[in-house]
Amino acid sequence: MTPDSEVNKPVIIKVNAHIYGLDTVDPHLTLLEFLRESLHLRGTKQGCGTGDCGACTVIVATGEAPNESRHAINSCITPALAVAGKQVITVEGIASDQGLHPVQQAMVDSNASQCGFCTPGFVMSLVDFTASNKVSETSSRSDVIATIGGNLCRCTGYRPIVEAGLIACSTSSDTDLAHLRISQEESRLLAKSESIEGYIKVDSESAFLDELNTSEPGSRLILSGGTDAWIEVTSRLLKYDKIIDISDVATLKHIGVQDGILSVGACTTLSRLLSFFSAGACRSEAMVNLLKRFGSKQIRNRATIGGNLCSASPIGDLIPALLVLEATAVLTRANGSRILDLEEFIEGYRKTALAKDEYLSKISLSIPESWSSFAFRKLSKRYEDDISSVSIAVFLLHDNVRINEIRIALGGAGDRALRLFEVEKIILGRRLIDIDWKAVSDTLDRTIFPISDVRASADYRQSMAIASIKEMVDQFFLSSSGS
Amino acid sequence: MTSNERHESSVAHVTGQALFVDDVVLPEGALHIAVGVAEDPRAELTKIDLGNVITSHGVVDVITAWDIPGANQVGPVVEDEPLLVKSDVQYTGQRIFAVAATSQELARRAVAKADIDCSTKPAVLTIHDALKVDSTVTPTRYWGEEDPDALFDNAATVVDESIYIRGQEHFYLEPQTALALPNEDGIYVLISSQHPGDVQRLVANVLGWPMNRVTVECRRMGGAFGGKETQAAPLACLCAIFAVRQQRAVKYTMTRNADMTQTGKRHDFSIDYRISCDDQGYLEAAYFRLAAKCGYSADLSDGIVDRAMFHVDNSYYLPRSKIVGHRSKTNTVSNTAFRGFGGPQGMLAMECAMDELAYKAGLEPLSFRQKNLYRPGFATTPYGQNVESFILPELIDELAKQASYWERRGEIKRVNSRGQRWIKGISLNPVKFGISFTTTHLNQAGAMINIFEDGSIEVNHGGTEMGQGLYTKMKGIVAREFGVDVGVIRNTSTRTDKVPNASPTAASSGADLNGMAVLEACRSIKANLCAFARDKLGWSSEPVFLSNRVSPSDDKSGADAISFPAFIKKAYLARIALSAKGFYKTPNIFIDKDAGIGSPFYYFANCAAVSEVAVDRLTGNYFVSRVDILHDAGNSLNQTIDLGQIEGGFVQGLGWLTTEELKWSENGTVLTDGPANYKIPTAHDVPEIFNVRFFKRENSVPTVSRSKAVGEPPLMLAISVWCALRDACASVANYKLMPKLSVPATSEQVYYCIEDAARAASRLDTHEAC
Repeated sequence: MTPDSEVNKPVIIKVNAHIYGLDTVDPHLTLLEFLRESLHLRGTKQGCGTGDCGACTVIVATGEAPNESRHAINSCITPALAVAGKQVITVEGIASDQGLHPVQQAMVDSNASQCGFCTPGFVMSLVDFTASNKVSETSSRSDVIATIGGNLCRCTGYRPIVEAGLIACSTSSDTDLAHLRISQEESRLLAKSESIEGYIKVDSESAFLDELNTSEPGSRLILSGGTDAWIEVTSRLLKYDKIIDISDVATLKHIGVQDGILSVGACTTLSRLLSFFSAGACRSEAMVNLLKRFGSKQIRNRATIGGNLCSASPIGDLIPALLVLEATAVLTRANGSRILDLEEFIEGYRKTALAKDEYLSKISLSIPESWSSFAFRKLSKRYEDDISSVSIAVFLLHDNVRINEIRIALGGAGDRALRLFEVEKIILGRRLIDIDWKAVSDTLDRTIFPISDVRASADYRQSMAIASIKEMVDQFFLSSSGS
Repeated sequence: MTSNERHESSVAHVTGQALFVDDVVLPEGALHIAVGVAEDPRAELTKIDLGNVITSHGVVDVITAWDIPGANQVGPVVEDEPLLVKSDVQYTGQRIFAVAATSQELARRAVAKADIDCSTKPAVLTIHDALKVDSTVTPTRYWGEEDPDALFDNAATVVDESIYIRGQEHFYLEPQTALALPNEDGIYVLISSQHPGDVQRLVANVLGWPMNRVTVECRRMGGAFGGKETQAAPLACLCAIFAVRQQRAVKYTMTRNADMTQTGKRHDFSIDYRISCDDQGYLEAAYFRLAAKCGYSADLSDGIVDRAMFHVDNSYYLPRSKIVGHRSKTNTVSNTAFRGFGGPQGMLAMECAMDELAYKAGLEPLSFRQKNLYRPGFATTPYGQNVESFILPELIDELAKQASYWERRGEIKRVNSRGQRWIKGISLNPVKFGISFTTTHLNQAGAMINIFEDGSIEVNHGGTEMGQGLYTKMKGIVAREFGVDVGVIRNTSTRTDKVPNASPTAASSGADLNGMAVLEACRSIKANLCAFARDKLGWSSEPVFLSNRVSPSDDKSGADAISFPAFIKKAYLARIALSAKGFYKTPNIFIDKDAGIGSPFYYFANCAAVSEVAVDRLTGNYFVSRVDILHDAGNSLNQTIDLGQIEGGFVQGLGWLTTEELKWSENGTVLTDGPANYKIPTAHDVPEIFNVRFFKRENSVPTVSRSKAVGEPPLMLAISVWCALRDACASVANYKLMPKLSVPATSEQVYYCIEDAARAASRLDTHEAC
């Protein structure tokens, strides 16, 4: 039973097995600080503060359905109030009366910890993996590796951690976290959690519009996953008068297909997008590969497609893909909506066409007849959880002789992700052997302006752009003739 | 004597119960520190106005150099490192003032409000520039023959090349942290440091106190790798000063960004070398000129460059040599210890040279290496120490067999000749690593054993636990000595008031030194217990400690056996001393560092690895497809722990040589200031086939259980990955030449290496066609 003193507070959060009612929480407090400083749960660690090391991994759960609703996230770049009305599961909570959680036991048995600082994060990533129906009989080493791609360990060399993950796949069961289930009563209670001054969690688009119309861009932060925005809060100590959390607006999370048009709500997480493209009519290996290398699992569980587009990064892995798929952005304001091509939506370096009283509600695109006409490449210093040096998306249709349609877009080669219209013109209508690659190369030299930075040199980016485009165009012909 | 006990903290680790410094719940009123730093690499401070800092919300105290009660000095070896700079700024990121506030965030906000002016001065930012103006932190050392040019007269094959080896960020997962609590006697410091003894010395020094007023404790570190040998002490000093001024608890935990920009890293080395062999393929002479980017102060650089110089021979007999080591002073953060301590850089240069020389002489690289290994009659190192135990010839043979090196090498050459997009490379590289601190006085250790009247045992020693499993190994030693389960033993946290004057836990020496001291302490108590059994229990034979029982050795029936706790209780009641100290110093080591002559190492640890890589010619992307390691850990003290060290060390070395690329700005700031842009390996980067085997041979010198040190050597095994990448690139030139490859070999650098090889190949073809 939860004491009444907890029940009648505005902010309600369940952490492990306990319900906490709170009068107020600093809107700028991160979830990690809340756990460590307010609740003295020091098992969850801060390794980097930027969502890159995974030491702060916790699981967030909503509702009573135990499995689908549980996700591992980085608590260091999540606002504490983002989990109001939800449950947070930490490393302290997962062992039960029966003893260690199977993941913990497997980690111990495999000698998977040395210094132990990263360990709680790995444990939570693996608990999420093994407990969320994500494991099947075919779960393999590569699945375990992918699930811990956002967790860094500097001591073990990972081999024993991967081994522990594999063992836990077979020793875990649905009941491992039964002691942490959200009861019906708790669920009702959590649903009562309210916004507080300075941190508004809107539950509908109209409420969102009200907030937009009564605030100014400089003093507000619109946040869904916050995987980019919240780093500014923790690293640069930025303060906002008002944080508008739109992550729970159901209508902004809709993925639907109608008349061959795919529309994706702006607050759809990359993880949901990844599941969407993993199965069913829209199954696309290229999209899956793109999304698997987008951040880490913890990031993808928070980050959204809308956040990716609105941050308008010059690399923005999804952006080149959406450019060649000719996606459109739906911008909504109080008196209606407008639809912009993505090229119009993104106006420059981290700059979009959004007016101050407007928001991105969804992204639409025509589903290609076959996803095999779409390809994507990402080059980065490290395979997992790294920002691209260059990313290349190509959409190409051919009749085994000529190229009848081609669209190419590039990330990391200028102030924004670019469609390469001039290059497309050189290739369009050609036979593979007739493509003037020298002209493509010259055109690229003229039209793209990559920079040298910590990730790669301008020269390498330039070389990779041309090499990848050629390789991808070749591959379209190779793969179709092979089949 | 091998055992396989699990890491003593494994359950605490997986449940989140293992306490790190930052996890300790602070007493009320505790303060948090943030530090204001210089933004220019070299400057004269002209104004430090902290008015707005002092009045900033939450600020309780602010200090500058003028507020330090004792010496403004935190240099670990040379006194060239101020805690807070007064006027002469030496690097971007140097500490100018410190703020103590009620929270870390408020301290950080206050720091940003400082008004600091300076007049900038010309800075030296690279090794190249430092060499030009002869800027050094300590004098250059010249070892070996007088005239290097004379070494190469009449040589059949000579290689004259250079390599620039970039540094490495430690990226321990736990950022630097310290906590100070004032008490009646002085001050107590809880810290994440490999060297609590030196933290104690420096805290006492900045406070102007004797060392007996300062107690320093370290239970565990969240990774260290050398990065917490000296770099944690300044944090403790700042905490201590504030704690004494304010009489409250003070904590300083660095943000990751502060840690990566303000603390030292592995040294960059620029190494020029000339090396020759005769027409039989035997090495004749070598000249190595090493220059390390030390940063603005000496820190441990003198020893690091020495160790690099001690390891340029790696595993090979060099009849004649000249080795020069410059300690270049640059206006950058002072570089520091990092697993291998200069050894990896020296060894990498040699392995790089060996490949080049083999190619030039037309020899297969592994055969060339095997031929030149230290062997009877060819056993003297360039610094005059004799290699006495010839492990590597046999170890390499065995590894080559286990890994099917020769078959795979042939197959790879065959497949590569087809000119496909993906090419492969393979390399087998040995490691011979000298064990002992080359600073001879550090080769000492103390330990303490307390047996309590209930039979439970406390072991304590000067070594620190950073994840490497030292505590686990020490418990194992005690358990074996007293014949009890490890469960009855607790290795309590490392404290300067339990075992004083301890050396840093470094140089792979933790288990060797502390293990012998622990053994000594155990044996001292056992001597008391033996006398007790003889005199008081009337046993006619020595007591045997086995299976939690004690019995006379001539008691075949077991009738006289007593449980260990009961035996201890009797001993206690008989007023037997159940507490003892142990002390150990490594015998037979000495070195004249200026002459470069001596026998600095107690023994050598050996290992070798075969790595295979697959490389995409189009992009330079690659992955490591298979690694086989054979490791000489002597009579391993704990194979479970040692396996972890080998795998972890290898992957850390892999990161250094592949994806971990430190980039610097034009004003000497590190641009790669967080994990978003500095990429250490993830699980994906670990080879799927990763075979680690032990070469089981007891140490020829008397170490604890005849084991061998295992902390650092495996890091250098990753050199085989770098060499394999280069081997793959060489295939593009049909193995006719060895193309240059940068360190680290990022995909981008591998791409350029392939391009170079392709260009060179076409030049060769043209040449041959003429």
